[in-house]
Amino acid sequence: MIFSRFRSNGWVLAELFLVFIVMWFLCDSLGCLKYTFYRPLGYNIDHVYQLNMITGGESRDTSLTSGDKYWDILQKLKKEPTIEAVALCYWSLPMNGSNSYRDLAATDSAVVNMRIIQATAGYTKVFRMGEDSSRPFDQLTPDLNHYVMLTESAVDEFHKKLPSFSQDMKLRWFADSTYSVNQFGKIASFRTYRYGGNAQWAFVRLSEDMVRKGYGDQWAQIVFRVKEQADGPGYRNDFLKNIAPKLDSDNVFVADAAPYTDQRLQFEVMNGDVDKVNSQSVVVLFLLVNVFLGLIGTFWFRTRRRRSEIALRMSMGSSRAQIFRLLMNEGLLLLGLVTIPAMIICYNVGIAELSIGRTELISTWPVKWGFIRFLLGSLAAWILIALMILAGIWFPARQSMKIQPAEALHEE
Amino acid sequence: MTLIRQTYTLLRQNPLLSTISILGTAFAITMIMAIVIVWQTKYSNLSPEVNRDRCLYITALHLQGKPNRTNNSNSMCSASFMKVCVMPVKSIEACTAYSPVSAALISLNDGSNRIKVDAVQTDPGFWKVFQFDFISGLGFTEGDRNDKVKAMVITASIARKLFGNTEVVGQHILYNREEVRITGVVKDVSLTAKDAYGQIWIMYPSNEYAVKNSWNFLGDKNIAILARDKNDFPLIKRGIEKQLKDLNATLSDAELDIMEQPDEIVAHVNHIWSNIGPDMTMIYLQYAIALGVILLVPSLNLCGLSNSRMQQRLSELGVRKAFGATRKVLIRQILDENMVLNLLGGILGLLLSYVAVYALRTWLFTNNSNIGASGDFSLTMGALFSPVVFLLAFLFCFIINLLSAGLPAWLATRRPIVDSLNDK
Repeated sequence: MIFSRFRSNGWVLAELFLVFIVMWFLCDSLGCLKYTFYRPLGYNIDHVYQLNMITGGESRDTSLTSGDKYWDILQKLKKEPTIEAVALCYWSLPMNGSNSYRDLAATDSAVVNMRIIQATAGYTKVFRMGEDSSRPFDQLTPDLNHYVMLTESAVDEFHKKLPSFSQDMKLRWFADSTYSVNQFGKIASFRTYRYGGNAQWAFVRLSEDMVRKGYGDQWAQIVFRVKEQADGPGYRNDFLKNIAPKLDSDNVFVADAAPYTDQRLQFEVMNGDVDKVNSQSVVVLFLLVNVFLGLIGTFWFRTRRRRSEIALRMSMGSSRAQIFRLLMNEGLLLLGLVTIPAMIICYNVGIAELSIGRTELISTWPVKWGFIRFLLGSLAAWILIALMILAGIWFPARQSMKIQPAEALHEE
Repeated sequence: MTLIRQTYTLLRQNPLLSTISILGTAFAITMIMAIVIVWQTKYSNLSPEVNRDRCLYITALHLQGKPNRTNNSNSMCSASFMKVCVMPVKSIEACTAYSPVSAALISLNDGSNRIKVDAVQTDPGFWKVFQFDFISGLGFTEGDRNDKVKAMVITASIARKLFGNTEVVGQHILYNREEVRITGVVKDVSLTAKDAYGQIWIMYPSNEYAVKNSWNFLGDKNIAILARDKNDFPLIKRGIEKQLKDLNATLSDAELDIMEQPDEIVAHVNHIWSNIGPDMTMIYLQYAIALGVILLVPSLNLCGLSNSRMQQRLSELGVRKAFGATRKVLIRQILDENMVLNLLGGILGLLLSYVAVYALRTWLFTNNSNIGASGDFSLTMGALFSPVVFLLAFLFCFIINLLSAGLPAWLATRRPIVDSLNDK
């Protein structure tokens, strides 16, 4: 019976086979993306804003460095009653493509490449990062080369490479044995951004002196956290009207205070995650609509052709509900026929670790490949397609329920 | 005429089937044409980026320290890099260095009418590489160079917001509290123009060409190079390579490298980060797979339906064969009838694709340059109604027709006449 089914259902089976494979791929990808998205971030950007500062016009005091002007703005901002915490940093913002990396080494073989965060004391308070209360970031000795505070994931990475690693060990900047780097405290684990994996970063604290003298004309970034009760949809406009004019420092002025969610969106767009989720969702929708249309069409013909058979069953005692279920089950049987072969192909694609160009076909980061992941993807694909099959068969099946056995057999 | 009447009868005979055929084709065409329209908008020649097919782009520069090779910096280029490595190349027609848009505050001279705008810093070459629609005045030239009062071009809507009209050439306004002079007013530019978009364009000062040390070659600008002809690309690339080699020979503490650049338009649009180029193989493959799946799945659908319909018409085909119709004629007729359904679906699909692209334009056209910018994602008529678009729509309809009706038709007409006539 199954073999005869193959013959009369060739096209539908081929379609379901192809759709299953593509759906598995998309469900796997979307599932991993969404799973990563919903995992806890480890830090918080609610009520956080970024200052947009512009340098324009003549400087009234040419002895001032850019650092002087930024520091001035920072201090004025700190005094504002609606503001909870402020921080200044150089190319060290989370969810931002502007960054700097350096290699830290415990021994010659235990080397970890990490992003270096160069920020003032308020950074961990602005982003509500977890830190040890006895060794907080604002007590880290401000020194670019000798004192760092590692994130928990960086420490774990060192442990993996060197089981005897401890936080009392002195580290070195790789390929530069001049400096002996001390560790102080640890930042609780957090992820780089909503679609990212754990952050292996090293924090360095900037003092007033370092900001004023150490960065020349480089652009600094200032971020601040607004008190929860003071924040609201009108805060940005209020800020620009009332607070921004007070922050002018020589020829540096404040053009805007953008909510950090803007920066988050920009980063997620640039990384292609938003695009991936949207386009994959559209293709899933497209495939499901097609399955629906295909099944309606096929079963419409089928119930028409089998009128006499159905009528016979009814006159032999099948209830209408049983006829209905019979057709539904036939649809699911079609799906069942293709599921195992399709799953075999999907599994092999998954473990083959194929790459196209530079990208992995089945991404293993940040969610690792595993059998559970494969099963969940298959289950999701199966359920979605099954739903569409049932939806597609529903109408023809209801039509078949209405067949009057006497009339149908009479036609024959 | 008879074909249309026959098709109409066929449609009425099988309303559900015809609806499914038309809808199935329509959805596939909607998806495909949406992809085509987005492709056209991003990569084909559209005002003001009318020279996309003749342009090369350099957007990332890698600097490696010498002798400490672990010191690496990646960023965009500076105007001085363009001056040293690109301008001297003889085979180019023009080149320009331009920054991505950033927020700026402009106002009238007395400080009133403050507006936040998207500003671009660029040079006279910009107006040669891109063709803007000037309502009044012109783009700035070397003659407008004045570091105290910089030259500026603004869009019509900004001119109206500031002054109430667009006859503002020669006026002085404040840009980030500096005095600037307007040399031209252009028609507004859509956000879909990745490189040409802006609301104001300022001529950057001459000190941006100065070189104090090796790190001055890193900067905040993209470089666009206009060739006289596409065939000059290899010549230009070699010219730039040579200039870079000569430059590196003079630097004692660093080495500059432009990786796989200069990029042509498709690689350029997808080039987001400074330290790693776009994965073009993956990009093209994704398009190919998407196209394949979108064509194949509905075709398989429609194949099944066509097959079922063929079963119904076996007796009709049998009779016609008995009267002398060859297989070729029969297959042609089936394909033609189906083609009408596919064409109807195609037209519906094309219209739906316009709606879809318009409705989803923010997602489809947001890129790393224009996110957070204030303009409009207006779509050009040229991209939507180009002959290429119509031709491709028809082509894909035809392919779906072939895939979905061809094989069933061929199979159905194989059966011997007697079998067909006996079939009930």
